[in-house]
Amino acid sequence: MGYIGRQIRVIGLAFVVCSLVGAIAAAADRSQGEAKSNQISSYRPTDKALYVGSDTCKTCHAEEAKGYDHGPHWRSELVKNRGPEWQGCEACHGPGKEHAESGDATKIISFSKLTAAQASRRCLDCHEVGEEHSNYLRSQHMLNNVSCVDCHSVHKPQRELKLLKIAQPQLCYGCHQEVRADFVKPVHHRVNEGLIDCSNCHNPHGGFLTRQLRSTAAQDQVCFTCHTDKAGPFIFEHAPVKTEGCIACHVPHGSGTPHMLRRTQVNLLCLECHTFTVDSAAPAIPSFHNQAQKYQACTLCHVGIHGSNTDRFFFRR
Amino acid sequence: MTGKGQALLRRGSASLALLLCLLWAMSTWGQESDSPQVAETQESSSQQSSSTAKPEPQNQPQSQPAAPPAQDGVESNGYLIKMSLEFGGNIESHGGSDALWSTYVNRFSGPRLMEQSLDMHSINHDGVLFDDLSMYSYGYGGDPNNLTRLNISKGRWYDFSANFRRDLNYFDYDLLANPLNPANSNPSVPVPNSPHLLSLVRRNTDLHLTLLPLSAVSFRLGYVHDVYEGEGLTSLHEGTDGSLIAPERDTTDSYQLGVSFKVMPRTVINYDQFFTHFKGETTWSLNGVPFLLPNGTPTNLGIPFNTPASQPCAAPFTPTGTVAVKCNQFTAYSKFSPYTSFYPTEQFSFQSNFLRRLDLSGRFTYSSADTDMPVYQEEFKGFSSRGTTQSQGIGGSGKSKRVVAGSEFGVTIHITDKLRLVDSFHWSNFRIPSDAVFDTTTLAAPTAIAPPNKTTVSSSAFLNALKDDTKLNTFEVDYDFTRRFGGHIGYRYGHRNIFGANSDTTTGVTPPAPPSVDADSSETEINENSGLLGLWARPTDNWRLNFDTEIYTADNVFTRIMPRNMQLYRFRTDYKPVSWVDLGGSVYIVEKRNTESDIDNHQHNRNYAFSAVFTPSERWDLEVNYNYADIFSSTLICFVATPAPEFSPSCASAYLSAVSFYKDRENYGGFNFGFKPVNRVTANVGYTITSTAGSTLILNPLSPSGPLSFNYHLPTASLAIDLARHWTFKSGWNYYGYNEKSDPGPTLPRDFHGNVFTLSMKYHL
Repeated sequence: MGYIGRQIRVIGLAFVVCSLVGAIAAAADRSQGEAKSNQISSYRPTDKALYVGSDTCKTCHAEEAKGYDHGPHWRSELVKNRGPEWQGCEACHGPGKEHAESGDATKIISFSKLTAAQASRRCLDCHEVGEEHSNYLRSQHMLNNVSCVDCHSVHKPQRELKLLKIAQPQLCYGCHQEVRADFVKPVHHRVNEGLIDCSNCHNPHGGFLTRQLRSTAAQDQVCFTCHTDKAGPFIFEHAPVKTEGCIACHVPHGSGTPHMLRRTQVNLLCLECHTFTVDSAAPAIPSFHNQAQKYQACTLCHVGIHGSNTDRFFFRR
Repeated sequence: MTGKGQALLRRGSASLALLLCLLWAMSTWGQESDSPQVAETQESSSQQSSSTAKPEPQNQPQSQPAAPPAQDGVESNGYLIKMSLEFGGNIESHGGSDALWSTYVNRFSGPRLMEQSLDMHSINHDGVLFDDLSMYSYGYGGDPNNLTRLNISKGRWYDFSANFRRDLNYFDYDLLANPLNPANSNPSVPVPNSPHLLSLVRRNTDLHLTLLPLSAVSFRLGYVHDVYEGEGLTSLHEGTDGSLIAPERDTTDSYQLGVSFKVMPRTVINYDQFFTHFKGETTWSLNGVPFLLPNGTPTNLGIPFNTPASQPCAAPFTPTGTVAVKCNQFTAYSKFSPYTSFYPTEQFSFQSNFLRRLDLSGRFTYSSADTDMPVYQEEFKGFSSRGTTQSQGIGGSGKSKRVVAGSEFGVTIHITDKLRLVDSFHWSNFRIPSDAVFDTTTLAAPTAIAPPNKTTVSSSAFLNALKDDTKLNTFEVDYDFTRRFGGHIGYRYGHRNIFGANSDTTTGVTPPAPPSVDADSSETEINENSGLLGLWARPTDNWRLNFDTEIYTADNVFTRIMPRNMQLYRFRTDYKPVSWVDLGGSVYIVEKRNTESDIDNHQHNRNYAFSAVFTPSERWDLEVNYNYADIFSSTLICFVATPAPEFSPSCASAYLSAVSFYKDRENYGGFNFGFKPVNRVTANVGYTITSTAGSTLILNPLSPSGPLSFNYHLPTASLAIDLARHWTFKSGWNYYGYNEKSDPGPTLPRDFHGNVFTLSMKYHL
């Protein structure tokens, strides 16, 4: 079976497995009963008579109230010019009068009963300032059923700042297991050390770029946020740095190679692009680069490979 | 005030501010030490203050189960105050490569501020200046990474956050940029360290203030100050490769002004203005002149000594020990080319889910950056045999721009509560035009010490341009079959147009010569198509499965290593069968192809990982992780080698062909076992290993594969004992063992092993 055939087999197998699991999940869900539509709506009734206020909620939910008071959400009660549907516990959980009077858990919005989109929309009703959350509903997280409350715990956060369930990077490793190993390799970004967070480079709330990457203020690659000396613009640009990004030559998380290069031998990294070809704009290496005699890293001479202001061949930075 | 004075003042101010904050925290506690402590409970040494980010020990696999907010602390003036202060020190010893220990570990003996935290929470939300304050620091005193984070907020008035990060970056991986001088050179001069050694430190200060965060109109202010400076070595190719000293200093200041308008419910419009200013002040000069010419002039023969290949020449020294006068060499070198870049950026963004079935968001940006290099002066003296150049001076100036316009737009239409149509559009267009004029004066002579016999003056004018226009649209149908099962299917189309042009017009001044033009340009158009599919399931509240794939194809590429076909598969699962067991796994596969006959590029990265966390009781917990990665690439390359290796057929005239292959198989495993035999004692032992094995094309036997195959062992252990109320003694041990499994090559071995013991005393409220 050829390459295409193998890939089709992999996709087919994955599809079948996920469909089976989904069917089981669907059956289990039906047996538990789906949430009522009046619970899942992000619509906020404005009738003040439906609301009881946070103090009423706290009489029964004392433990949750501690987290609420200690976290930032109590501040919603400071917004007096908006109706009760925007304040206190009921800003998230909806009108509580019916629930308070009956004690019926189905008469109040419980986030554990909402779909990811429904839960997230309720959060986004308020968390709209700035562009941080602006594209969450179209993010990879959202499309993969990761909602706000999968990472944040409003009532019992381990990390109170940002109300995270657990601190980064362990929070991210919980799903993105494949990157955990990268950050203990000899050369790595200082994520485990706490110097930077995953969210410094990736926007967990979406954004518009692939891999939910952030960008600099000047809409350039996020790498240039710290590696400012590589940003330019330079008089002589090494085009792939700007068009393909740093990841054309570097791995972003961690590696065993110096400077997290994709190859252990720099000359091979360069030769893979700078070779005679009809399919690329990169010029081939000149014939006097004799690999039998000059086999050392190309960057011994081409020191300004990220871009130069003084040399078109990057002999100088 | 001098630069050093300013730096000293800044360091002093930062230290003073930190000290004041610590003293203030201590004094606040001290004032209340006799007061009733209504909310106080004894803190376990294993507990961490919950409101600040704690770094993991560098090599320790960690699992911290979610814990409720700690209820310790004291009440004072209406605040609940929690704090900790941990002082101690490192005792370090290592063997093997000093250079790589410093490059990879960089931990040494000395006293340290291990950790400091302060949390203040206004119990009734009626603080005068703030309702919440949290501050966290670690690493001061000599560790390579230092961090201070501060967050303050006050009701509806403001949110403030500040970060200070210091990162010491020492780099001396001796194979990188090493000329790998062969043993058969005469003389044989091995280069033990990397000619591109760096010892740089980055200091980043990041301040953000949001005013009136809950109001209909709120404001954002931001300031980022980033300094990257230190000592570094580099090299310059001028006949030979001269070793240069390049003290680095790059400074970036970035300012942000922003305003948000909540124009109606669930709808906000934002406007932000950013100003970023970069200043590069690195200079370059010759790194020593250890040899003498026959006339007594000190000189430097550069780094490569490969006399069979005439580097720096076939016979560098005369019988009397002086340097051959026709050998490539540097007697003097300096370069001065400071530059500044200024990036003003305007950004307009919005978000609205005002309509119940329609979510919208968008962002529009415009940035116009300018780089200005007003003065460029370079002077070389010595001898370059290629043009019999004895000295060369270059002077000039140049500038470049980067104009970026971009827009992004996203819409979600909720057809029903379960069915959504999602579309995201991204457009980015940048162009980087630049121009420069360099005047070059060259003195030619038959030798390094002979009087010049020819003077050439030329003027070169450069005009360059790089443009990229990228459009990307993703459309997906997202459907929740049930609350526990859903999926999405979609299509992504991308279009890129990349244009590059450069022109070098050189005019002879002395002797006069007509302009010669060297110009070229290229344009690449790429159409990309992707099919997207994703499925997710939550069979139970404690079990999650995700699968998604992207099948990508493009009709063109910009670089040879970019794929025309790509397939991405991701599968992730997390399952908690019982409350104290957490099992996770992931499969991540990327396959890339460019099967054009002259490229034949095949790449894959297949990654499999699992983890298991067991927390059956407060007495012990165990975390186990494993990861296997299979990284592969093969690409046809053309190169020149004389004599030719046996395996290489011809590629084109003078060029040989080979398959540049790269195979890397990585195994990572780790565990961490924590136990608490008695309430006062907490212990952890852990271990991680990264073991890689690989192979790659070796074009020359003198070029070793270096770090392609290595073992990196990181065992660790820690012990914490609660000595008394508020006082905890802590100790830790980290071992670092790095072993490359291949021949070290013609330079120093890079293996190292070392121990770092930490002893500290922690005071906590």
